[in-house]
Amino acid sequence: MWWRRVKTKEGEDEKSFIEALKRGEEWAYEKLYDEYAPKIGGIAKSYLGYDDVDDVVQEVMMRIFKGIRNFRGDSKLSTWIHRIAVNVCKDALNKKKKKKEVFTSFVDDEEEGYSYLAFEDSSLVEEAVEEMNYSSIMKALEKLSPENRLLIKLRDIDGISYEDIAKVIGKPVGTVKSRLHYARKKLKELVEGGGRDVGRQSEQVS
Amino acid sequence: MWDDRVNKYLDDEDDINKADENVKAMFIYYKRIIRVMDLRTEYKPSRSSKEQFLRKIRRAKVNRRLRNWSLAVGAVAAVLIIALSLGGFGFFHGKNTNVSSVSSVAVNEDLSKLKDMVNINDDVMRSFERTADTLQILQIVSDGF
Repeated sequence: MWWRRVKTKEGEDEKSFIEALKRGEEWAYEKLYDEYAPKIGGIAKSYLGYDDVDDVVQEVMMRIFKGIRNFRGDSKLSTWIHRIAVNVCKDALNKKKKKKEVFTSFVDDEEEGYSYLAFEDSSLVEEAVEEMNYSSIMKALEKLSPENRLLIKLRDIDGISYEDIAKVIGKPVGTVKSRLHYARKKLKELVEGGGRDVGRQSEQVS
Repeated sequence: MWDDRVNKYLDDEDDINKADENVKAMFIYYKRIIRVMDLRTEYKPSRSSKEQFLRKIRRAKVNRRLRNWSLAVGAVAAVLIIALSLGGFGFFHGKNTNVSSVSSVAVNEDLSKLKDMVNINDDVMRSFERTADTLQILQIVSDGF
């Protein structure tokens, strides 16, 4: 209904948005897709390490549609959706592992023509990779475990609070903090080592 | 080497401008890596992907509605089947419609018992009494013969 749409756009709170989702109203799902599909896709790309994540996004969206009636509002809607996204990514990764398919790695993408030139604002990328070896970063990201990439994505890119990340991955806040600190350290070491795990080598030597 | 102090600046627990030069440099270096990662993991859903999702939603809603309807129809059908199998048509007309027992009461027993057996209104009861009187007269006459 158009009047509901207007009402929502003018600042209807999350609760009534959830109610609209529960009623299965199409405008609510359009809004949900516009707002969350980029975030879900970003999480999937970080976790899975490949670009073709449309299926994962669709699966997450359908799980939201099927599960929204059971959503009691104990957590924020965004936290709940992130949790679904992480679970779907885990399932997708397990399926891939079972099939023993070869992943399209970050580095392979670049070699196959997927470079930062594909981004709309290439000047931003140029600025970002200034004084850095782009290939080293890609290799480092590839080497980093999916869980570490996910933590960095959620906290350092999406800016989600530690408390919400703890709810998303189902671990205590302290564990999330220490794991993220380790992931940051690891990422920097991998970049400096040109994608090689120098940290582990130095640990073994010492 | 990684300086753990960078974490508190990355977590906005402290102002990076107050940090020493080494920590500041490491902070900027890490932020640049993150910027590249951000651009690399950026996802822009296509219009067709959104349309596909909305089509799935529409189909799922129709299926859900059909499932609810078929469940309701199934439940009503089940109740009817159970009702018919338990009591037959008597389920709808009461239990005490056994014609032979009613007629034997009418002829041989006290008519007041009839009221206990079936629910009938006073007009019907009066016509029943008149019929019973006639039958009794006929019985006396037939006994005389």
